[in-house]
This record gives sequence, C-alpha cells and structure tokens, in this order.
Amino acid sequence: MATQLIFAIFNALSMGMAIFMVAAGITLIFGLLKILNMAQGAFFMIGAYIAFSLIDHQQLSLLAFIGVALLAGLGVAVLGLLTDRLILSRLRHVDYHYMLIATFALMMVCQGAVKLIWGVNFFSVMPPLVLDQPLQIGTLFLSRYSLFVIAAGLVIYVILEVAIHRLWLGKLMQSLASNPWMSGLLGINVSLGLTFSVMFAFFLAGLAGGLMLPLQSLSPQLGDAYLLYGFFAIIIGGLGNVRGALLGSILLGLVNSLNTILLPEWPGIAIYVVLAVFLFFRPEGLFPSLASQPQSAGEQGSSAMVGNKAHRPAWMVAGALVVVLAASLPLWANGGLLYVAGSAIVYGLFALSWNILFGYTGLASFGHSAFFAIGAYFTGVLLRDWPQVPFLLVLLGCAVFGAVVACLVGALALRRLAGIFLAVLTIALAEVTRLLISYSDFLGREDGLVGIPRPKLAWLGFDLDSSAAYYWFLLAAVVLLVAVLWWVLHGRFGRLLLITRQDPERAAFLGVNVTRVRTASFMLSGAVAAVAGGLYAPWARIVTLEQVSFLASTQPVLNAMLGGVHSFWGPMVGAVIFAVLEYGTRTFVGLSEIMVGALLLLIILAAPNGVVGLWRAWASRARTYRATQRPRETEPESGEPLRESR
Amino acid sequence: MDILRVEEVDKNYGALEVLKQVSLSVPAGCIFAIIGPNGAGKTTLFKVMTGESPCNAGNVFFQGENVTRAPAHWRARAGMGRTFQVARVFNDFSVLENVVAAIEARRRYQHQPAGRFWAVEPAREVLAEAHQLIADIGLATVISHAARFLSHGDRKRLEFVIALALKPRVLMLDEPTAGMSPADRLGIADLILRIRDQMGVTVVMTEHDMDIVFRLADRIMVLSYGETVACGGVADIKGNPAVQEVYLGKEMNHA
Ligand SMILES: Nc1ncnc2c1ncn2[C@@H]1O[C@H](COP(=O)(O)OP(=O)(O)OP(=O)(O)O)[C@@H](O)[C@H]1O
Ligand SMILES: [Mg+2]
Repeated sequence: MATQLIFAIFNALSMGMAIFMVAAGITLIFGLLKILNMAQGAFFMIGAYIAFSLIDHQQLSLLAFIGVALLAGLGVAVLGLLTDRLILSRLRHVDYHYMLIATFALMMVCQGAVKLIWGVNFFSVMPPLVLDQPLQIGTLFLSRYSLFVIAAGLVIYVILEVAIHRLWLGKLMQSLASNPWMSGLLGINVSLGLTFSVMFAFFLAGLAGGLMLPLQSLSPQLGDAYLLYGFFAIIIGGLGNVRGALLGSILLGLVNSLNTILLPEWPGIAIYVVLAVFLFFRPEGLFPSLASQPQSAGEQGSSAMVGNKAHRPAWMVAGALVVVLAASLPLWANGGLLYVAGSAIVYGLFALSWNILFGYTGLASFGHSAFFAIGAYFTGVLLRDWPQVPFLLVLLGCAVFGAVVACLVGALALRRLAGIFLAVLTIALAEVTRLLISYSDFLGREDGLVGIPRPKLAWLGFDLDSSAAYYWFLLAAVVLLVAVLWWVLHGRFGRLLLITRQDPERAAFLGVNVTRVRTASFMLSGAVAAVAGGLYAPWARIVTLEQVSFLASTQPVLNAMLGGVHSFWGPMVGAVIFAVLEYGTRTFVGLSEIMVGALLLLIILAAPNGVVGLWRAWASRARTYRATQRPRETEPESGEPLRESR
Repeated sequence: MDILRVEEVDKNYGALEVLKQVSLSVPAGCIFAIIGPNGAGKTTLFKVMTGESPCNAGNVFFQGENVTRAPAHWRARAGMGRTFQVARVFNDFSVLENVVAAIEARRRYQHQPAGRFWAVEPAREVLAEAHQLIADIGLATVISHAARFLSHGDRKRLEFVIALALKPRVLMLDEPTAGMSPADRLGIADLILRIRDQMGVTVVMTEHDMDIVFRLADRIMVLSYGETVACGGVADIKGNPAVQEVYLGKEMNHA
C-alpha cells in the first residue's frame, strides 16, 4: 500500500513537472503580452521533433542528451524570433482576440508542417543510457528518467524565479504591467525586451520538448494535451505567475495520478472535473496576480455592422438570386459539387454561430466544434436508433442541448477575465467532448457513427432520402434560421450585444448585466452551432471524432474571419469562398492544416475585416471619389443616416 | 436624507494606498464637488462609489442601502448614472443609436415597453425620447454622425446624454468640462444646474476648474494623496488654509 502511494506521488510529480515545463512558457508570455499563446504546445512538439532528428535513434550519454535538448530549445527560440517579428509585434495594438486567433492559426500551421516534414507515424526514443535502468529503493522501483524530469522542472523553476526577481525579466514585466507606454519613456527598450522574452519562452518550450522526448511516443498530436494541461495549470495557479504555474501543474499531476488508480476506465477525465470545480469556487486562481483583463479594444469595428443600406433593393435582388442559384444546384450539378455546396451551407451557418459570439459580443470560442459535434452525434444517434422521433423535434433537441452546454460552460468562464477563460474553457470543452465520445460505445468510440439514415418529414409527407431532397430541406432550413437570426441580431437584442462588445464597462453603467448578456449570446451561439451539426449529420451520413478536432474548431473562425467578422453576412460569404478554394485544391491532401492556418494568419495580418471589409473599403472609396467629382450633392461620409433609412 | 454615503473607505493598488479612510455624505438634491490635485484619488473614489472596482475596506451606502458589494449594473439600475474622465461612448454607433441603446437598456430593467423583440426599428416611444434628449443637449445637428468622428466636446455631451437616458437619481461626473473651450464649459455648467433644478438629480462631480466648482457646488470636498483635507460649503473651503496649501495658492487666486 505504502509503495503504491509513493509510486502514485512519484508519477504525479513527474507528470506535474512535465506540465510545468510547458506552462512556464505560457505563463511567461501571458505575463508579458497578456495573451495566451495557443501555439506553445505546437512549439513544444517541434522541439521534440528537432531533438528526435538530432538523436537519430542512438542512445546518447546524459550530457549529449541535454545538449540535444538545448539545441532543440535554440531552434525553437529562432522560430520564436520569427513569430514575434512577423506576427505578434504587428498585433500588439489591436484587440487581443486577434492575437489569440493568430496564435491558434500558428498552431495549425505548425501541426501541418510537422506532418509534412516528419509524417504522421509514431516514434519513440530511448532515454539516455544512465537513466535507462530503474532505481531500486527497497522494494520500490523508480524510473531514473522520471527523476531526471522532476529535477529538470525544478531547475527551470529556479532559473525563472531568479530571472524574475533578480534580473531584467521581472522589471520588464512589472513596467509592462503598469504601463507599456511609460516604460518606453523611461528608457526600457520595450520592443527589444519583449522580443527577447518571447524568444526565451519559446526556448523553454523547445527545451521541454527535447527533455521530455523519451517520456512518451512522439506524434503530431503530442502538443495538444500538453497545451491544455499547461493552460489549466496556469488558470489554477493564477495567470502570469510562475509559482502558481508550478503548484497548478503538480496539482494536475496528482489529480491525474489518482484518476488512473481510482477510475482506470476513464483516463484523463478527472482533470476536467477538478478544473470546473476549482473555477467555480476560486476563479482567481491560487495566486491572483495584479494583471487585469487585457484591454478589449472593440475598436476594430466599423459602424458597418449596423448595416449598409445604400443599395438595399440591389442587395435583396442579389440575395434572392443566390438562393435561387443554390436551389437549382441539384438540377444540374454533379454529386460531388452538390455535396460541397450542402456542406458549405452548413458551415456557413456554423460560422455565423461563431460570429454571434465574436463579431457581436466580442468573445472568441476556440472549441466551437464541440457544439457542432454535440448536435451531429445527437442527431446521428436518434436517426439511427429512434427513427420514429420527428426530425424537427430532433433539431429542436439539438438547440436545447447546445444551449444548455453553453450555459454551463458560460457559468464557469464568463465571470472573470471572460475572454481568456472562455478561450481556454471552450478548448477544454472540445477536448472533453472528444474524450467522452471516444469512451462511449453507443457513439461509436474512435470509429464514429456510420450509415446515418436521412430523415422523413412524416406529417408533411416528405421523404428526404435522396441527396437532392435533403439538400433542399437543408437550404430551406438554413435560409429560415438565418432570416430569424438576422431579425434578432438587428433588433434591440443585437444592439444590446453590440454595446457589450464595444465597451462592456460603459454598458454595465447603463444597467446592463454584462455577464448575463454574454451568457445569453453564448447560449444562442451554441444552440445554432448544434443545429448546424444536427443538419450536417444526415447530409454527410457519417460523423467521426474529426468533427471535434482543433481543425474543426478552426473552421468557423476561418470562415468568419475570411468573410469579415464585422458583418452579418461575412461568415456565410467566407464559408462559400472557402468551399470554392477547398474544392479547387481538393487533390492536395495533407495540406489542409497548413492551408487553413496560413490563410487565417494572412487574413488577420493583412485584412482583419475580411472580404466584406475589403469590399466596403473599396465601395466607400468609390463613393468618396464620386463625391469629389460632384461636391455639392453629397453629405459627409459619417453623415449617412444610419437608422431612418433602414 | 443622504442619498449617497461613503464610510471610511480604503483602496490599495498593490502597495500603493490610493484612498485612506475617506468618508463623505451627499444630501439629496445638492451638487457635491470633489477637488484635489492630479493623482489625489478622485477617479479612484468614483470607481469605488460606482462599483467599477471594489474597495479594500469601508462601506458605500446608496439611498440607505449598503451597496459595497453590489455590482456596477445593479447600482446603475438603482439610479446611479455616471460619466468617465475620458468620455466613453459606443464608437461604432451613431449618436442616435448610442442614445437609443441606453434608453432601451433602461426600459428593459424598468419593465417599460421597449419595442418588440424582433423589431429592427426601435419603438416609437424610444425614438421620441431619444430625439428629445438629443435636442435638449444640442446634439441634433450631428444626430446621425458616427460617435467615432465626433469632436471632443460633442463626445462629452453624448456621454452626458447616455448617462441621463438612465433617468438617474444621482449623476456622477468625472471632470465634465475637461479639455473643453471656455464657452463649452459654461454651457456644461448651465446644463448641470438645469439638470439639478429641473429634474431634481443629485450631482457628484470632480473638477479642476475652480470657477465652475465655486459657481455650482453646494458642498466641496478636498482630497489630497487619498486623504480628506477639508469638507464643507464654498465659503469654508475658500477660507481654509489647509486647502490653500494643497493648491499652493495657485488656483485659489483665480477664484
Ligand atoms: N489601476 C491602477 N493601478 C495602479 N495604480 C493606479 C491605478 N489607477 C490609479 N492609480 C494610482 O492611484 C492614484 C490616484 O489616481 P486617480 O486616477 O484616482 O487620481 P485623480 O485624482 O483622478 O487624478 P486626476 O485629477 O489626474 O484625474 C494615482 O497615483 C494613480 O497612479
Ligand atoms: Mg481623475
């Protein structure tokens, strides 16, 4: 019994230290830039791959092994320099959500690149010779390599504490926390200091990747779990705080170790439960820091969300034409094209649901695929096993299911630091959904649900079995839903969301309960996403775990950003454009992650208002041009009546 | 009766003690001015009173109720309107939309008709109320301009209208005339008087312009380094040597 206990604690410590090595870099970047680096896990993984290539199947001496890990760290630090110069430094003065999305996109690019360079196979690496044999103490066998990991974690912790309390790093963090602009005046070279610190944080990620390479097998998914656990550790410990990150990591290690002993058939679940309970009772973390909510600029926008009425009738005709064109597709298009079109319609609705949250409320979800999957699996199971339930009722069930889940997550995430917590908790939601599905027999575990039948609308006498029939139903349902959302978002509920996005504090002083409004928006968003999933299941006739991957969660973000988040129609436009792009490049399999990620990065850096934003800028330039030709007939740009002429 | 009362409030930012045992009470219907040099803690006191940030010790009472732990939106609903030192309005909206949004917010929690949920247009009564308020304050000419492009003075005025749209019992104004031209300052001063006299709104304000303070205020509190230096009527403050010292006699000579 005692040996078992010691063994469990030992495992907890080694896992905790492993988490800490990733969490340290995340918390460092958060302390400096006030953003979560979603790509930290991916760079950890890249460090591991670099070390793997350097080791090249040999068994090294301890010193050589450490040297390899340091080299991996340096390699990743160089990537950090590139990242900072090319991406982060350009986004320092915009709403922090764009930075979050950019690092998320970067993570996709990294994963895609790793798959291209090293392939998708699993590799494993032996620990260095001296660490290979277990250490025997009495009847107890402890892995020397795990001891090494624990020691390495402690050394990194000590180095960080010294750097923060004795060296430049702490001063930089402090002056940045209080006032970045002032510290510029005080002669601290902020930009250089930031770049250097970001490189340091990346170095830590790469080093950790190298050091922990023999701890588990290497695959392109390696970074995902560490990223999540790293996030959880810094949330539990208190954001931007190294000691908190250490304690949080060890706590997670303990929880996971207990989980393997007490609940062996549900590995990895307890951590989520503990996180939820912890957030409920102590949302500020163990060591709350002074770091306040990052400035939500909300300044990105243009008054355009409120509507551009200059050409209303023309737009209505155009919209009607698009719907007619879409409706005529089954009559002339081939099966492949029809499938792409139907999926694009669903993804358009999905992207719109994401943008209810981002464009209208100013909050970003990075795990929206969870809602989509909830809807898709719910519908899939019901259609397959209980076909007698009316399909419209099933869709309603999806909406309720999505809203309830959103309400629960929102209750935890939307109380403090709403933006950051929601980002982490939505990722966690996607991950926990994936875990639960993969443990459930009736959801098909890893294989997914296959052979989902198409529904019948019994009381209307429609059989939607053929692709054309279901496609028409899909189109009608989405048009109807979008119309309803249009009304809701352009009325006073929309105005309520928009004022909370633009300035939540100002809105609170108008008597608006910001938390409630945000929760309502999240619930609406979750419900619509789940309905999109519900519509998708019988269309694709198969739903798999891929629907809950990071890639799937990026899809609505990309579509919305591509089309333009400051426009109601942007997400739909984006979904169509992306579908066309994807259809055109469908032969290049394996590029999808790089393509999705790179495209998203490009949009954020070059055209953050998307295609619709570009169009509007062009249209307004054209108007101004015409105005200068005929100066007397025009009013000032801002003088366009916004409300009356709707 | 005192409509707003602050009792021995402490507020720290880390090691920095910004407010030390500050107390004040504002009788209903008066204009109460808080003055003091830059960094005295005036804005911080406003934050504590309005619920923007919590205090470390002490209590805040609003209309007899202890609201120390009440969130900002709760106090706003109870009748506490405010403006910010740097005007905050909804930049993506036009002037009219700003005011409409504020009125709709109030009607929502007061359970007055605010128009149908799905109606794109604001309800007729909301629009009428908004036009009335905007005309009252003299923003009618820029009613459809985007708030982002307003001049500084108009922004301040717009923020004023937004706060008034709440029909507050107490209006908290943080430097309402900062950065305005002399003519505009007088306009705002008249407006504040009018609000108090016609609508019976109690006003709590901070201000650096002593002319305006002495013209408007019924009671004045002087804050320096987070401590109350003096508190009383205009005459008391003008003659108080401690206040002279805080201001180095500079602004006082103007007055
Ligand atoms: N969020 C904060 N974190 C740390 N210190 C702060 C914070 N806000 C204000 N302070 C400090 O508190 C003190 C009081 O600030 P406050 O803004 O209340 O002064 P004020 O009287 O309103 O000054 P002014 O007349 O310039 O507006 C200042 O020293 C300021 O630096
Ligand atoms: Mg101030």
